[in-house]
Amino acid sequence: MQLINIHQLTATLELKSGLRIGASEGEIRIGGVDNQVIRHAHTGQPYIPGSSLKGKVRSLLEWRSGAVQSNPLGLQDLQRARNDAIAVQVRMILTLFGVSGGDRPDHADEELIGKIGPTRLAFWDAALQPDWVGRIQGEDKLLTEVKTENRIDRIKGVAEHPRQTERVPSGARFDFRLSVKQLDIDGDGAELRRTLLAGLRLLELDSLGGSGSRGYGKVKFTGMRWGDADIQAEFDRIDPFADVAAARRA
Amino acid sequence: MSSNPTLTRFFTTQALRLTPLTPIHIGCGIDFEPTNYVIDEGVLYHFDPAQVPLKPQDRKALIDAANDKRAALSCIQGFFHDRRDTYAAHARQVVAVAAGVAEQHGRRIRQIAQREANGRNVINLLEVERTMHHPHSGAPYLPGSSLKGAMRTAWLDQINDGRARRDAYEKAQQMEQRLLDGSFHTDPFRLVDVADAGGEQVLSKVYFSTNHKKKRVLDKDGVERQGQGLATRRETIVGGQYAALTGDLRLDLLPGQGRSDKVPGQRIEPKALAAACNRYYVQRLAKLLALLEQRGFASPEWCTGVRRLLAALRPAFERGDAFLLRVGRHSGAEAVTLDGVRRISVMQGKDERGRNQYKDMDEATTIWLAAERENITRGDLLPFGWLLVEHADAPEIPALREWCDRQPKPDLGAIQAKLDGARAQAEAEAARAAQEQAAREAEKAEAARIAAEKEAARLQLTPNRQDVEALAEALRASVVALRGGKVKANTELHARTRALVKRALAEGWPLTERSVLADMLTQELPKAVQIDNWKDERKKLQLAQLCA
Repeated sequence: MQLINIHQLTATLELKSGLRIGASEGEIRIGGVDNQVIRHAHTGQPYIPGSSLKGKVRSLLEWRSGAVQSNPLGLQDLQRARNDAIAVQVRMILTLFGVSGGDRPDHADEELIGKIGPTRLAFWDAALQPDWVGRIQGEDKLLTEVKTENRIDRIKGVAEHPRQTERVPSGARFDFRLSVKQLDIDGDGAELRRTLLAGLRLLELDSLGGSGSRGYGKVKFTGMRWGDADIQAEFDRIDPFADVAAARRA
Repeated sequence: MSSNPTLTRFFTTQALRLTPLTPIHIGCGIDFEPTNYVIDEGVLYHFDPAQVPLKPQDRKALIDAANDKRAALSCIQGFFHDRRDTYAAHARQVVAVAAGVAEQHGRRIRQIAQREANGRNVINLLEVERTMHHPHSGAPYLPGSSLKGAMRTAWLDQINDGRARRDAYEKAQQMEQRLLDGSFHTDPFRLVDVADAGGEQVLSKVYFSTNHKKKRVLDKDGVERQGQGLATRRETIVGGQYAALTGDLRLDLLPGQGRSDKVPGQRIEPKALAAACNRYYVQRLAKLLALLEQRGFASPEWCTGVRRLLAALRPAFERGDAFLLRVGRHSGAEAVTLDGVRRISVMQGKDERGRNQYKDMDEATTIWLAAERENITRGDLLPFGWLLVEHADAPEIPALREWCDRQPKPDLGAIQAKLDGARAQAEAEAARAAQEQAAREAEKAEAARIAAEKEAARLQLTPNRQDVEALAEALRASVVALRGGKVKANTELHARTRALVKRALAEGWPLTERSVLADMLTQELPKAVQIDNWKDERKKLQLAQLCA
């Protein structure tokens, strides 16, 4: 097995609605917002952890694969796949996102682990773009907003349980980056690349972070590049369910 | 691309276009305050005071206002109001203002609202409650949480279908759990994702929210009693803006999941959701129109227009392409509660101990309406919160666009033109100020250049010549300081002159240096020092010896 290349995928990740990725509460401040977003320890600026991006894209691809279950897919699911088509999907996900160290099914098939190889994707934490931060701070504005919500008692007709949630507001721009390893066992890498891009398209159609069902976390990728090549137009054309439609028509 | 029959579509997305029909106010806990807005000719300009440069005299005026012991707050309000042209030019956002709000603002600015018994003055704070908006642009938007909550209410009502609660102790949350057959991960609304809805050009306007009695009640003198609620200034998204906002509705399908997986038992389909919303909200709007007409709150023409619009929308409602919602503040208790279980707590005056008495009723007794003026009780009042949601890929409904075109709306073009005018004026003033500043800088630079040249020339001289030059400077500076006047003889400057001459002779300066000193004193000393007899002075100073 040999590493042939490492590709860099870069893009601007722009928020279309407020994003909330929660942080553990470091301290409780009187009068403070109780649901704070995660921030960089030194700059104090909100960022999107690579783990959030990776986890969400993986789970969306698992949903699409038809093999989804409560736990992340593992080697066991590859061995027990109902048919070859599902096995191809599961294998693609395991190849891109990796097999956990503890994932050793009974009678572990070492050869199988060898065939899958190391995790191909490495997501980066996405930091806010300095020019966007400069523009907002130059106007004396904050990098986050506080959204107030409540629930309505549908018997009494009164608002109750007011809660405040911190969000990074729509319009914020992050530097998105991930690297993709290409091994000699990956052929030309086209299938892995297609699956990855479909996963990123699913992220655009779904949402990132918390409270997605209340409208949070809509994102859009712009200026996407694969190494030096501009692939934004190709990315925008991707319909992650195109194969589903074809199957239905057939 | 190779077809792969195992791939699963696990959600469907439906793009939406949203048309606010009447003013919508979604509370966000943030106000426009008199230190960050001015109102001029029916337009509110919102600015950040820290971003507006202050002239020195304005800075002083602001500090004086803040230090006013009796009414600092109203002095500060007045400060901004008096400079409204300047501040308007720095506006981040412009909002239309109802006529009565502008009048009230003009009347109340600098006024004390009331003087309490203890002699304390209560100042009008003049704040305006903002609707939910983007923190940077100020653009109003409709949060997904509001839209989803309104849909949920309609869905719950459809399931409940007018039945009573299980018992009098069942709380709202327990009732919801029972009706939806689940909570958290088994709550069917977990699978309904409603995005925040926004738009490029969403107009907002400040109205009064005014409180009115639904039923006509007369007091003992036969005078009609009015609602007790306080009229409040609220920013609203203007009604009648055709498809001003876009959003989307996503439904998760959970393919391949069975009940054993702890998933919601109920499935919500887009068309069923639209039908539930129409079932709930259309009849409420019809009932509201009847009330508005019967009490004369709204004009008959407006009510008829809305009825015609509803009739034109009916086919789209039936197809599930469009549905009605009521969202935000003042939706009215009936539009946020379920039929059959509603218990509205209504104040019944005070008991013998002066405590407020409440009674649970089936319906609220008052209604909140948007008004151009705070004391209007008839005519052109508008209900809050009505919104039409359409599937973006459904055909447009001409009757909706026509109805929207007929609704009076603030003239954004005129507002924008005013803002541009104010900005152009501010820019011209800033350019003039910059020019003056540049001229001052140039003067300073020239003076600095001359001083530097002088200093360079001085450094070229011998130490003795430098001392002569320093004395000459001191003599000239004294003349300037005394505006042409002279210092008395035998004072410090005179003594310093004598000392230098003495030194020149004692140290045996070269002739050239001594002559320079003598020439300088002949020229400068009479101008700077009062000397009655110059001939005598020359002798005392031994000027002749200097030149020998």
